[in-house]
Amino acid sequence: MRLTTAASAPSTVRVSYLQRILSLDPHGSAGAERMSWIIGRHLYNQLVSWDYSAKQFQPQLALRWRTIDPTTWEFELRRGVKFHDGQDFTSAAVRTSLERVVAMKGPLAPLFAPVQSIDTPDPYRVVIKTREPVGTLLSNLTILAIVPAGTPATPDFGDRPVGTGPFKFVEFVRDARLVLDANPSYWQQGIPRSQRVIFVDIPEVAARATAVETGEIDIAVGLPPEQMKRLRTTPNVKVEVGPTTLTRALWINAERAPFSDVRVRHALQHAINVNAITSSLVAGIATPSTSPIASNVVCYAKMPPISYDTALARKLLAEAGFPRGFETSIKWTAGNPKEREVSDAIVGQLALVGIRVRNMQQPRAIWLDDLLKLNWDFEISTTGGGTGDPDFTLRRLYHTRSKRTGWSNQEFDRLVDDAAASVNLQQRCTMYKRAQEILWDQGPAVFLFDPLESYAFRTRVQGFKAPPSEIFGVADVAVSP
Amino acid sequence: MFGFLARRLLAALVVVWGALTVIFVIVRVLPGDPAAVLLGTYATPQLIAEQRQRLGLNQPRPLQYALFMRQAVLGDWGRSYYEGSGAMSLVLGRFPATAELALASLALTVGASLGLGSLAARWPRSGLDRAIETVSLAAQAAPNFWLGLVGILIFSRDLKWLPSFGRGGLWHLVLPSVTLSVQFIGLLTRLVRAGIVEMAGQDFARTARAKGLTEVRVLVRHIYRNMLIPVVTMIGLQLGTLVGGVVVTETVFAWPGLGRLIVTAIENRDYPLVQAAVVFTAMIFVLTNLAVDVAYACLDPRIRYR
Repeated sequence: MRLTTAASAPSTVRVSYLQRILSLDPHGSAGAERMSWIIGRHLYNQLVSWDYSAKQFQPQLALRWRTIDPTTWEFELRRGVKFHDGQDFTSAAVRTSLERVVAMKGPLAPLFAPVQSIDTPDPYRVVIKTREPVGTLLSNLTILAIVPAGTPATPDFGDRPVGTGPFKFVEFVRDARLVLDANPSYWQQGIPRSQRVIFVDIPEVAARATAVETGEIDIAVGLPPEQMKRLRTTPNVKVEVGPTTLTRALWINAERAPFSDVRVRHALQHAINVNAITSSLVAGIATPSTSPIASNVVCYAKMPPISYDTALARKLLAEAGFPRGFETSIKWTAGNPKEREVSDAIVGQLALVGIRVRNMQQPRAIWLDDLLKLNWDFEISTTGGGTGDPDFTLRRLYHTRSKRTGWSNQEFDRLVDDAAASVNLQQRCTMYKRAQEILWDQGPAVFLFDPLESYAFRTRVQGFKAPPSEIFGVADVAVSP
Repeated sequence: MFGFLARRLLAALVVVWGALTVIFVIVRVLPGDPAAVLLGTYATPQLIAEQRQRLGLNQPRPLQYALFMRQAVLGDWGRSYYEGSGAMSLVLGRFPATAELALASLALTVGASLGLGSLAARWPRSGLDRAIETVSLAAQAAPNFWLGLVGILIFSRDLKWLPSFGRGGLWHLVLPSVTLSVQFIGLLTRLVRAGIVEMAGQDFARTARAKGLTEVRVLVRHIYRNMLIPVVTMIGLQLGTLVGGVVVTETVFAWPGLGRLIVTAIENRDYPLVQAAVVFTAMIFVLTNLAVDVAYACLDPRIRYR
């Protein structure tokens, strides 16, 4: 009758994450989801990976690379790598993967649309030509999973995925578990350290915390502060917190009056007490924002703090013609911790300067509809750096042609376009610094905080450290019995 | 009897077709674009347009309906937009988990209600009867998710007797099925008690006692059969809910059932999956109804169908 807490076979790691697994196809419509990238770390490899501490690219399936000219990249590939079905990894697989990600027309497709041609002069060399200079090609390649040569651009690949990663696919019971077994012929020595990984789906956050407490799972990711507090005092459980590339912001629809007036946007910046929100609502799982991008994104530049000053806010609103404030609304959807509390806090703080905000939580489909049609005044947005490169958020979301916030700034557009094309990191960082300054000061947002990720794990888990971004992996983790 | 069954099955088909048509229209009239939901915050107008094209959403609705019905009749319910797999196979794949929970819950409900209700009715207005009545009321009032979470805290976390989530062996079934059953047990116990009390005073019961049968035998051989009709009705209703509507329990216990599948499909505007799920649950509802009607005929010989 007694539940055994060593609930798994020796050396099985059971992990529970806060998002559900939508698809195992890395190039399809779920290709930009955090969960897809995490699973992707285990099933697949990419050409290169980004090292957050050394701040440089590390070889994965590509050993060496160089730019022959601004639009031509050459990669030398690793030899002796095999796919899970025994096929050799060669340049043909790289070509298939690049073509497939564009053909699947998912959210990753625009990242590789500038690729004009892919040549494979020999089985271990790939030459990629782009239509115009693409400085972000390497960082975009860090999220391109390599699939076997000849894989068709149809969604059934996700039913039986095959990659070169440290784990291979065993079974996927939707909304229950994903089971992966160690790849015995993985190209990296000593990896993976465990025999099996099981991603367990537990949608209820309290149940996730309970499961790690009872030992039914080994690692729980993404728990809110209350659960973390409890788990810190639980024997046999450790809690760690790690950085992410995420930023949570209050978005302002800059194409709607009165928000098109920069004074109103400045007033909003001074009317929101970012420190209070962070320290009381998301203490321990976030740090106040110091830039439009998170601090571990490359070319991050610390911005001057914006003072919390309701008198100044009122003065600016009066100057803009709203001495008695105005009425507006904030829209958001459930999915991130403390979203409701953050929205309530913003409503309360803005009321102090005369802005009366209607709090409108929406179901996801309707929220997306309004968001994409710019049918909103305020939004709570969480954006992720994904590749670790600022281009992933800055140009995608704030360029004039993105039409995501109704904001348009010519200088910003030019900066992010040029930075995306340049391959010189120093040059790019200079341009991104200026771009961050513009966005921080006059942009369509009040940047609130950078969320951190929480990891609760049993002490029997060995080798686990909080990763440098929200994309974690357990290939170098083992579980002692 | 067979003519009756044949007519009822035909009616079942019509009802299911009707439900399907209504859902087909409703889900497309709802605000929210499946292509946008699919792409999420990475959607751009161009990507959305390409997805809509790929999913056939730009065709006029009557044409979409005609194409869908034609495929459905051939057994092809389409592929889920979100999950990529065949819609009906997704639904059928979830059915064993739901059936397991439903049957366990039903068995618990019937067993506990008959037991408690009979005890209460045996000694009416006694201390035992009052205690059972109070407990029944409390059981009916207790919110499902709260019960579930409290159950997990006590039996999984503190006592470590039971697993806290998921579907697995028999022990995994205990907490979710008990949580699901509690409210129904509360309701059904009082129904059973009232039924027995009413029957126990009737002439046929007195005759049975006069023949020398023990009270238990009177109960089991005579009274049950006479008061089971309202009970069977309730069970039929409960079965319907159990098949598609236990999202909360499924979420609390991470039970991979149909409820969560349907709710997620609706949230995602996953048209093929919603349609397949609705057809399936409508069929179950209709067949359950039919089974209940047949049960009436078995229980009460005075009821005859032509």
